[in-house]
Amino acid sequence: VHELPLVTRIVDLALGATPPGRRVSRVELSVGELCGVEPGWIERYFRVASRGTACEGAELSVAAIPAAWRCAACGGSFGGVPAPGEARLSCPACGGGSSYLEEGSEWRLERIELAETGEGETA
Amino acid sequence: VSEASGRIIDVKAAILGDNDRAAASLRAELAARGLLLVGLRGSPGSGKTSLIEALLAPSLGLSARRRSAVVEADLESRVDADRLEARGIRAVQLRTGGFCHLDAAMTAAGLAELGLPGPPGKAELDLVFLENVGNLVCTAQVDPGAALDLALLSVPEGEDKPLKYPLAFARADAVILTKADYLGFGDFNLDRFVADLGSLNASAPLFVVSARTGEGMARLAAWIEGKLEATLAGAG
Repeated sequence: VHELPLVTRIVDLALGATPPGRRVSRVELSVGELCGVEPGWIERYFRVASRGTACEGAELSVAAIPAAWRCAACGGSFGGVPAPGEARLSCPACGGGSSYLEEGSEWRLERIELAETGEGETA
Repeated sequence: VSEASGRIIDVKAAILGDNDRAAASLRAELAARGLLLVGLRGSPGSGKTSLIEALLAPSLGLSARRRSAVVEADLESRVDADRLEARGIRAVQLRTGGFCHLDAAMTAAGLAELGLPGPPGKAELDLVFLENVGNLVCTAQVDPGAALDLALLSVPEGEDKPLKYPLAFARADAVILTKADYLGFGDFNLDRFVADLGSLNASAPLFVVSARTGEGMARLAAWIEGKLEATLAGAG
């Protein structure tokens, strides 16, 4: 129940950027590594949400935005996705175990690619 | 410019951008009216409603000093609002109709039911608790427009949750460990929980509380009171 409204919003944003009379052949997303997104589900929802629009049939690409943490002790930046049973996040520079999240929770529509005029037209 | 590059349109749009802007403007408007909106997030059964009940119990004094109310969100029922009203706490219930989280528009609708923000000037209320839908995933990604974002975890849920749902805890303004009266009865490792939490969110204070026994509640109420004073001092 979470991805569908997001994907609907993605289609709306893509359509808003599409010039009248053109079709979209590719939609490029970036999603933060901590969002727990399954690209397969996003694609399935995208098929549904784009049906009957200029985005129908467009290829969807989902790139991951790596998580970025800031060390509370030395200010260094590092990556990593926490998980139970794995080593706790710690700063590779100073070994500090206190950090803040700086990136990794975003959902962005980066760009769209338009189909060649005539390409993918149904009429 | 090649034909190919002419077909690429850079959009560079935050997909939740509209909600982020609506949430920020709601936050600014409430701050200007001297109203503190405190959001609570946590799993179903993490003790959100009980925590609000305990915070507004006469014994802590918060409800006597401050004009307060609660906006409850649930998929369907109005059980939580009824429960709070039975305790004399003013509450409205938002039914999200299957939506798993609140967004800024839903929060504004709940506040409107309380007559907020109302005419220009100081708001009619000082303090409103906003209980999000029971969910650790989506509620961390969609900003409901609260000034304070409290993430709850109850002891029976287990100490591994910050590592399983990092976003839920990494973005919180404070973390509340509820049902502390269960500590010592299971295998919840408090030291490990504190260390895991610090690795994700070094700035969020941790409150270890039990709504049932009252443990830790005065400290949490005092912290909220401090935030409320800062809000009132900053209100135009």
